[in-house]
Amino acid sequence: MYASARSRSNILSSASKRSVNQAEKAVVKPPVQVLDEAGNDVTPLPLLHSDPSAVKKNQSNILADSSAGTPTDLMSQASIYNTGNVTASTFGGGPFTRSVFSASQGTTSDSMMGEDITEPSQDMSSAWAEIRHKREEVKETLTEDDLDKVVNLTLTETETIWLLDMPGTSVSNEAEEAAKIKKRNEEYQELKKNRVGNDLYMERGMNTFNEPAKYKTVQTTKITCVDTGIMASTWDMYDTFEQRDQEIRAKEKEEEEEGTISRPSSPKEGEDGKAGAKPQVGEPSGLVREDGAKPSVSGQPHSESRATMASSMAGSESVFASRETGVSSVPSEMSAVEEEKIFKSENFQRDLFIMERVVNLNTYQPKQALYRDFPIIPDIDREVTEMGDKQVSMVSDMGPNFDRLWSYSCKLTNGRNISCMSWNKLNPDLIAVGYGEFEFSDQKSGLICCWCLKNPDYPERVFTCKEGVTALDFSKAYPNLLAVGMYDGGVAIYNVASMKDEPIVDNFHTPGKHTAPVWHIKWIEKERGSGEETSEVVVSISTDGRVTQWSIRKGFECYDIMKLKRTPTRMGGKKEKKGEAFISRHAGGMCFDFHTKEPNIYVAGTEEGHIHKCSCSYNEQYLETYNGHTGPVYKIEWSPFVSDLFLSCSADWSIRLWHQERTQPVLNFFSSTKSVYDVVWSPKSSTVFACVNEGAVEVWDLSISTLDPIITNNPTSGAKKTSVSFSKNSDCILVGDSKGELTVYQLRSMPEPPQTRRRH
Amino acid sequence: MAEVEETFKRIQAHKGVIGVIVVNSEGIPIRSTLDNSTTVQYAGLISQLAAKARSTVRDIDPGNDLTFLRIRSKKHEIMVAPENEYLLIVIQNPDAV
Repeated sequence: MYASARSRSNILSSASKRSVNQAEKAVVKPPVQVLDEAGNDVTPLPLLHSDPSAVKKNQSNILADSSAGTPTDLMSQASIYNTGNVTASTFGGGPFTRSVFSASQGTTSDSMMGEDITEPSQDMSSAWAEIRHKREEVKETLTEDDLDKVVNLTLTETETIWLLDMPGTSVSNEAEEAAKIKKRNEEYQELKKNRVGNDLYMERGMNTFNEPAKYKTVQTTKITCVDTGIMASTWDMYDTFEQRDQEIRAKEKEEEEEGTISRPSSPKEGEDGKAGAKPQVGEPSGLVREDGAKPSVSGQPHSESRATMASSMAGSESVFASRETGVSSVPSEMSAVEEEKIFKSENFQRDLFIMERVVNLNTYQPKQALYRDFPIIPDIDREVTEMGDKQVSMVSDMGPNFDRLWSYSCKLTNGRNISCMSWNKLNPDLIAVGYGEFEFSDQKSGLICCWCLKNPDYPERVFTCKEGVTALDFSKAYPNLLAVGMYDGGVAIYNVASMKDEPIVDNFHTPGKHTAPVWHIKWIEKERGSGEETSEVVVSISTDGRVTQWSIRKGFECYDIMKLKRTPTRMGGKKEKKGEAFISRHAGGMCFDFHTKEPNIYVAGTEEGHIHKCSCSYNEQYLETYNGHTGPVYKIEWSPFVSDLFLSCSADWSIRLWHQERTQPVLNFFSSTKSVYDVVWSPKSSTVFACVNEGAVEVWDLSISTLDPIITNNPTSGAKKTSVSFSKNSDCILVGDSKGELTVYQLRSMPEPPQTRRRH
Repeated sequence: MAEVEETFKRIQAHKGVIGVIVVNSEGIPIRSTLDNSTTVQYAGLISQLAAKARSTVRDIDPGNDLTFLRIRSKKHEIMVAPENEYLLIVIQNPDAV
């Protein structure tokens, strides 16, 4: 019985009872009848005979849960037996219901419900209508509380619905019925044989109806066929495999990383997300790599976009195809965005940089080849004038001479005085040049430029300083550090590897700052204590009389190695002048140089002309004093070959060669009437050195003559020559002047350097 | 960005340089110091040549790639820096006084 019926009102129960009675009737007579011409009842019978018990069960489910039942729930619960009515109620009864089930349902409608109840002859359909009606009433009595009620939904499996059942006509030999079937087959064979002449069987013809064929036309859109050709070149395939390998490697690396990091709450999500994102990431990057097209750029010609998709799938696409199709018009606003992107990219900067060097190379190639001592191969297409040949022959007849190769100068450096130069210890093609005025009267801001052999037109690095630069040195241990001394006594350390225009440390605000221009600065390797490694410190000397050591271990500390004191001049033979009143006890220091073999000994030149040999261990006393110069000593340098000799040059127009054991100079060189600003030993030959005085560059060779320089070069530019340096990896000499030009000269026809032999 | 502009100007102003062209990946010139017809001509022809050169290099050894291309002719030299996203072309006459 209907379980739910008990919970209903009397009217309902009576109705349901009636419906039960009616449902139990075995045969249901449909109200609508189809009669053929003969008056036979050919009403199509329902395909399925509803099982009342099953119906009842399903119904009870429906009614009990009607408050919570949704159409889909009902559908799942109800079998086809009563689906028809349910669908009729929920979907408004479609033609489907009419044709499959009792046709009377088509006549069932809400308006007829009342009639259905009263007519007892109605069949199941009316019962459904009642039930439906009942269900709707139930719905209306729902209250808000019912919503919070816990409703139990029972999901049951419906009966199996057979849609197609084709029993097989063959059975496996190993099946259980095989024997039985075989027997039957044999019997049938026998029967067939018997049939031939048997009286029990009679031939008779049959005619089947030939149904007329009906043609139906269907129209579809045209199926377009496209032919695509793809060419795979060796590197295309290599690229694809490379990329795939990279992705796999990247994924592995990420998975490794995830394992080590503590997992967040949803690691799986992350992995899935990544796995999902990666193929997408891989594809666009593949597009970029293979075709050079940006996925963000829209409006590409269709063939190209199709081709790119094909490339990511098939892994090969000819670059030519994409390029050629791409030459067609592209909207102009896209090119502006692209342009920005291109110009900002690192690659472009690097390419420009290389291109500049290449362009320069074209211009300076013969000169640079000379620098490196390469033979010059003349350009065969170039028109060679006759003059050129003559000049070449003339030059080789002369003695040792200079050949001007080129000069480093640019707009920035015009008009500035070159005060100092320093070669980079790691890269012998790189030279740092400091620009700063010597005179107090025309001070301007200072400049440091790092020039490279490969680009004579523009420096690699430019650093601006507030004060004029008067001293420079590259570090040996850290070849990218450059120590700078300035006119106001400041010492700064720059890192040339970076493009920033600031020093990494400076002493502008430390109390130990020099109070006068720093004339010389050098990186010295010092042994610190016992057992510690040698570290480099910066030593500077300045007119305030202090020789100061700066270390960058903690901040920028300074430590005075020595305070230069004035010593009364001792004239040979005469009595010392005693009791001279000094204005300042300190002597201004102009230059210094540390001994090549003993790192604690150094010589320092002063403004008064004295040269003092000092030791780092004693900061009050001099070990030795060398008197000879009568003017400020501008430069002093130990010989790189003979460790006891050093050279000094001074404003008294002279250069003097000293031995550290003797207080009097070994040799004196007077060649001009101008103060000598710089002197430097040649790194290749022990008897050669170069010096610059205001008007000329001179190269001396002691093995040839000690009275005259072997080369004197008076350039006509009119600028004062202020500094000179030999090139480490070539036979060239660099001369800086007061107009900011650094000229490179090649030394030619130099005499052979002497074999190393000991000199006293 | 300013650095780039400066370097660009310096190359342009260098002795003997006739023109500088920057071409994007599709062969369209985006920056040039020459007149339009010459630029377009150079851009199209050089792009193709660079692509062919790169293909040649990579066919021989796929791990290799083209970094720079220089074509020296009687009258001048064309220097090309090829990249995936662009092409930088400089035409210079090295014998110019």
